[in-house]
Parts: sequence; C-alpha cells; structure tokens
Amino acid sequence: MERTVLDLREVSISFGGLKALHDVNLDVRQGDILGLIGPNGAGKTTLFNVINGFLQAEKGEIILDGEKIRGLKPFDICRRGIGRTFQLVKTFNNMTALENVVVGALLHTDNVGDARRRAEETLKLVGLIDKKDITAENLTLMERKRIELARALSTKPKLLLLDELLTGLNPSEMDDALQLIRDIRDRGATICMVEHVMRAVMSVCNRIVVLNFGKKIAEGSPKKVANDKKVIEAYLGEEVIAGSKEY
Amino acid sequence: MMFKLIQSIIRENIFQVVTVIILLILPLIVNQTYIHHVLTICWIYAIAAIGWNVCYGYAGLLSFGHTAFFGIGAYLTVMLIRAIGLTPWVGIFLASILTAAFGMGIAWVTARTRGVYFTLCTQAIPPVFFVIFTWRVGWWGEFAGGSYGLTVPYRGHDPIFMQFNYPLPYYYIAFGFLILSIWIVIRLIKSKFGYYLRAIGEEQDAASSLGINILRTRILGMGISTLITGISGAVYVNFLHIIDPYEAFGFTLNLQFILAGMLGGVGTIIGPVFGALLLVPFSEFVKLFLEQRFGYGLIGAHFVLYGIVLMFVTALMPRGLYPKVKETLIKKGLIRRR
Amino acid sequence: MDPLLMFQSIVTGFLLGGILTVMTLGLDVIAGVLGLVNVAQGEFLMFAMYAAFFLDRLFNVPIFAMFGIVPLLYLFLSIPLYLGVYRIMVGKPASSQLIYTSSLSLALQNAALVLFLSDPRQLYNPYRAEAFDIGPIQLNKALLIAFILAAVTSIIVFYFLYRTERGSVIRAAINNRQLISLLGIDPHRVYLQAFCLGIVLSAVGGVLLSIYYPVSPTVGATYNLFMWVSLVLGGIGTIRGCLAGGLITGVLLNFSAVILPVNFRNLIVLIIFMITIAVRPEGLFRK
Repeated sequence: MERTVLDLREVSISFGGLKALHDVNLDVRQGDILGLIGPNGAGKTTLFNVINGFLQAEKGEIILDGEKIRGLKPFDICRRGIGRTFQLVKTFNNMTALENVVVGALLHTDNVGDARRRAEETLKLVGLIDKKDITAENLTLMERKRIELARALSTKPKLLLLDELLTGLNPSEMDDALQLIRDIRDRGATICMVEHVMRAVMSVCNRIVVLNFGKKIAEGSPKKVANDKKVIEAYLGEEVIAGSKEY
Repeated sequence: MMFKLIQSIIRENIFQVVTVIILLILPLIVNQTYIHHVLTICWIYAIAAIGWNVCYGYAGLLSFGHTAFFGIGAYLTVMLIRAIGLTPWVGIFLASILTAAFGMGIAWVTARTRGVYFTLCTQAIPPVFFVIFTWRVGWWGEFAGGSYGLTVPYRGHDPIFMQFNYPLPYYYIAFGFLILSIWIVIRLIKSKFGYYLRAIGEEQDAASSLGINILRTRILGMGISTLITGISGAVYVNFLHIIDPYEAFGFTLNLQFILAGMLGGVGTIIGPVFGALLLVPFSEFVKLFLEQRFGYGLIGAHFVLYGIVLMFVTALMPRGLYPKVKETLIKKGLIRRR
Repeated sequence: MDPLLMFQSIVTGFLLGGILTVMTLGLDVIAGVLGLVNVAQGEFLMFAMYAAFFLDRLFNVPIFAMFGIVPLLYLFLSIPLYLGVYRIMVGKPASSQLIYTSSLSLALQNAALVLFLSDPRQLYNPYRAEAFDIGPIQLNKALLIAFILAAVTSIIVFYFLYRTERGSVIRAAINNRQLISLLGIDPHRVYLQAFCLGIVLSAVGGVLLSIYYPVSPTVGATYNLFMWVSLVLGGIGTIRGCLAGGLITGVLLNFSAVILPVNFRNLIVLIIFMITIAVRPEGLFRK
C-alpha cells in the first residue's frame, strides 16, 4: 500500500472576485513523480504557493504525511518536510554554490562543518561539486537551477516541489535535468513538478494532474491524460500537446 | 598544540596581522595628538558603520535610524556613570547590551515590514529617541540633560574611569573595541545564524522555504547590529566626554555611517573600516578648509559634498570600494579568497 | 478638551490636507510610474517655497501669478533633472534608490542652509491674519485660498490623468510598467513625463504652502514625512487614494497637534505609519 505523502482536499483560494483554485483534490504518493500541468493561468504556481505557505487557502485541507499544514508559515512547512524550487531562480547570488546549499543543510544541524559536508554530498549528486566555491551570480542558469535543487534536497524533504525547473534549458540540459530528477526519485524522494514542456512531463512523470481555470480537469497516467479530450480542448491552440502524441 | 594553532592562524592571515601591528605602533611613531584624535574618531565611526553593515550588508535591511542606537549607547553609558558610578570599562559593555535590547524591541515591531517601509520606519526612530532623551519632565529632565545633552563628570587623569589627559590611550581603547567588533562579525558570518542572516538578506522567499524564520532572524540580526553600534556610541562618549542630542539623533551622523559603510564595502567585514578611514580624515580636512577659507559662513557645505559623493558611489559602485580593493589584493596573493 | 477647539483643528486640518493631497500626488506619480522612492521630494517642495518667497520679496509678484511661474520654472528644470540625475536610478534596487535620493535630499537641505541660512522666511500675505467666521468656526483666508487652489490643481490633474491620452498612459504605467513597452511606447518618455508631473506638483504644493507657512531649510524633511504618511494611507499608485490620504493625514496631524504635545508628532506619524502597513499595506484605496 503506497503511502500518501501529500493530500489536498477541496483546496480553494480566490483573489478579489476571481477563484484561482476551486476545490482542488490531489494526492501525491510515495515515490511519485507527479506532473502538474495546465494552460497559462490555470493556477499551478498558485497551488504550489498554497502548499508552501506563501498563500493561505480559504477552504480545504492540506495534509502532509498525516499532518495538517494549512495555515502554517512557510518556514514551518519546510521544517515539516516540503522543499521547493522557484520559477524564477532564487539562488543567494552573493554566496557561493556551496554556501547556498549549506543554508539548506543547516535545517537539520547546528554545526556548520556538518552542514558543509552534507552540502558537498548533495552538490556531488547534482553534478556541481567542482563549482562549489564559485559565487552563484557567476554561474549559468542551468547551474543555478542545480543549486536550487541541491539546496532544497539538503533539507531532506518528504516532498519536493519543482516549479518549472526546465524552463529556459536547451534540449541537452533538459535531458540532464530529467535524468537528475529520476536519480533523485530513485534515492527515495517524492516529487511534484509544474511544467510546460510536455515531452519532458510525459517522459519522466508516472502520474499527471491537469488544471484549468483553477480546477482539476484530468488525472492519470501520461498516456491517458494525453488522449483526454478535455485536456486537448484546454490546450487548444497550444502546440505543445502535439509533441506529446508520440507517447 | 595551542601554540601551533596560533602559528597557523597567523601564517594564514599574515597580511591582516601585519596591518594590525602597523596600526598598533603607528601612533607611537606619529606622535601627534591631533592625528591620534582623528584616528580614534575613525575607529569609532568604523565600529558604528560595521554595526550598520550587519543590518544592511548581511540582513538586507536598510536602516536610516542607526544613529539612534549610537545615541542610546552613549547616553546609557553616561547615565550609568552618573547614577551608580559605574566605570565605563564595565559600563560600555552593559550599555551596549541594553542598546541591543532596545534594538531588538524596535525590530520586533518594524521588522515585520517589507523593504522600503522598513527603511521609512527606521527613519522615524532617531526623532522619537530625541524626544525621549530631551524631555524636560521631573527628575528625568535633570538626569537626561534636556536639550543640552550630558557630560561625563570630569575626574582629571583617572584610568579606572577611563579618563586620560592625552588621546593616546583612547586610540588603543577604540582600536580594541574595533577589533572586538570585527571579531564578533567574523564569528557571526561563520555561524549557522550568520548563514541564515545572509540568506534572508539575499532572497527572502527562498530563505523561508528552507526553514528560516524570517522575523526571528531579523530581530536577532538587528540585535547584533545595534549592539555594535551601541558600542561605538559608548566609546565615543567616553572619549569626548559629552553627548549632544542634536548630533546623536540627527540625520547627518546617520548619513556618515551609511556613507562609510557604502563607500567602504557593503556586505564585507573590513569594508566599513575602510570607509571610515576615508571619510573621517576627509571630513576633517574639508571642515578645516572651509573654515579657513570662508569662516563660519559655510556651515553645512561639507554635507552638500557628502551627499553628492554618496550619490556617485551609490550609482556607480553600489557594493562599495572595498570589494574592488579586495579583489586586487587577492590577485596579488596578499590575502586568500575565503 | 474643548470640543470646539477640536472641531476647529479638524477643519483647519482638512484645509491643510488639501495642500497635502497635491503634494502627495506628485510623490505618488513618481513612485507609481518610475517605481522610484524619491526622498528628495520634500526638498523640491522647500525650494519652491523659497522661490515663492523671493518672488514676493524681490518682485512683489502676486500669489496667483506665482502659482503659474514657479511650476513652469520647475517644468523646465525637471527635464535636465530627470536626464542628469534621476534616470540612472530607474530600475535599480530600492535600497540604492533610497540611499541615492536621501543623499540628494541631504545635499539640497544643506545647500539651502548655506544659501539662505536657517532663519524661517515668511511670504507677506495679508490674508494670513484674516479669517472667515462661519458660526464659531474660523476659516483662515490664506489657508482657504490655498485649499481652493489645491482643489483646482487636483481637478486639473485628475482631468489630465483620466481624460487625456497622455494621462491615461501614465495611469496605465503606474499599474504595470511592462505594459507600456508592450504597447510600443517608449517607457523612458513616459517616465520623463511622469517625473515632470511629479516635480511640477511639488512646485505647486510649495507655492500653496508658502501662502500660509514659513519656509526654512528643514521644512522639506517635515513635509516629506507627511507626504509619505498620506501616500501609505491612500495607497501607493492610486490617484484617488492621494485625495483621501492627504485629507485624512491633514486632519490627523492637526488634531493630534492640538491634543498632544508638539514633540509627539513624530511618534504619532510613526504609529500611523506602522499601523497602516501592518493592517493594510496596500493603503485604503488600492484597487
């Protein structure tokens, strides 16, 4: 029986009169790489912000590994086991790659030396160990995304939220990133990723949830979702879905 | 074992050690009281700027109110002397800790605000304390000196109460506290709290997603920052033996700390010292020059110059002068990249 | 506390608030469009007051003429001011902007100190000593004139911003800076226009203030504070918010000056500021 890591029930939030999320029900199971897709403005990043604590859901429950986390502050939510990367990369630009990851690693230790060791291991995992002493602002976008990933990983999260990790990467960087995501999953992590790049989502996710106008409109395996009429309609005019027909 | 440790520390930081030794023997070589006086003021401003820098350069909180903590540190030290005859050797520490308590209390309220609003709030802090310390009501009016400020009771040459007849000992005292402040900042940066502080200064959202309690970190950061600035005020009043509320809680002193910090180097440890070393002698020079040439008719003219200089610095070198100097020093192999 | 005195202070505060509104509009436009926090706005106000004073003292210029001359002067000066001094700061981080404009503010304050010395100067205006009596309440004539002129200015500015094309572009830019470049309009032209508007409004505010209040090098800092409170109360980037913010601030400040010792003003301002930011950071009228 798979353990449910994250359970969202009837999660809703509105801005002004606009309902950004409408009774969203979703669950993420242990070992999933769950893809969260939908047209622009569907509410994907909003959902992440709600899970993360940056926004407060007006209705519904958010349960992480059995614990209710709705209403908690972001730092509390992180301590309970959610790690996150951002659409616009938010590395600590005046700190080195290693220092960035150390900040994450310090969640579980008060000893800076231990944190550094852990950070180095995580940097090795993401393939950035030789750049560990370079200041983040001097690194490429792909490298900074790796830093963000390593940083979030070093907090030993139960659930890793990746917000458009692949945006802005060229095809070979994207393949590297996808392999990295698989490696992380193989090491025991559970991942939920918001993505626009369809071929990536189709190739690496084992389950997909589709949002549109703040509501869940489809859910299931990549193949099932790609052939779902509602999903195709939602993306009508967007060419991305065409590429996914290969799957 | 201990000896070897010290040896290796010295060997790794040979440039810094040599600089400190030079600065220690400098006043003995250049034995002019005016130079001693100016350099002592340099060190005091440097301490204040270091304190301000912890808040801005590390925590990313731009404070326009740090002069208030300078003033509080100064006032408290004098009050301790007057009220319970506490020698400044102890009083300076006590006053600084109390200043930090004030700082944290104020931070508890203001640190909830974002960016620009924080700065605007801090701008109102010095005037509030001005009112408090110049309030002429009852015993407090007497005790706090009203709008005339406070003076340290004169004791002649009395080392126990940190009073000397010539500036030289003050030079070493101020320098000593400067080393202390620098040491505090070094320990801070290498600590877990230091990492957290810099993280919130860089990217708040990312920091809170990594488990950092933003408010708490800010409050503690302000505590350390105001502690150090409080030290500078306390040392100042025990050097000049007078504190004037208009100066202490006015904006011009504020600007000088900011100028020293910005000029020297934001987010670096030694940067503010550098800035103070540039600023203080320069301001003395400008003041003298204007007085000689134009008499007292041009009061305030040097601030026009400061304002303009700071504008240039902010526009062209927002991270200050020292980072460039540091790069050059590193390239020449004089100091190691940390 | 005498209720009549309190009511009188509210009325006077309201009149003062009208002037504040105009001043705050200037700050609002610059902050909203350029995203630039202009700490030196108060100093521009102060120099406008000095200009009014000297026009009166040296050339006996009547108030209504000053109302046109000083803003016009500022309009010409604002262009080089933007290009030479302010343009460089657009887009830079807020802390750099704050330090930059604060330094400018300090430089200007001290320049005024050097040029004009610290004695307060007051424009000669016979209406300052006269008032209309409406029942037990007095409406100071000078202040009333200033209020009416402020109202006229506000109407003109509102008309410009809501009914003309250029004004609408500026309004659009307040909410979304990227939008204007998407529309094919050069953002820097809009910034320049908004900046000029903001500076001209500070000139108008200065002239209006000098009808009733004396000027000294430090008044800029004082009114800057008031402008910021009005702005925060009304909401940065809202036009209508300035109206409410200015009037409310005027009333609050005048009222508290009557019931509390003068020293407390800064404390009051700080408290209003912090409460507003804590409770409703978008201001009262944010869309």
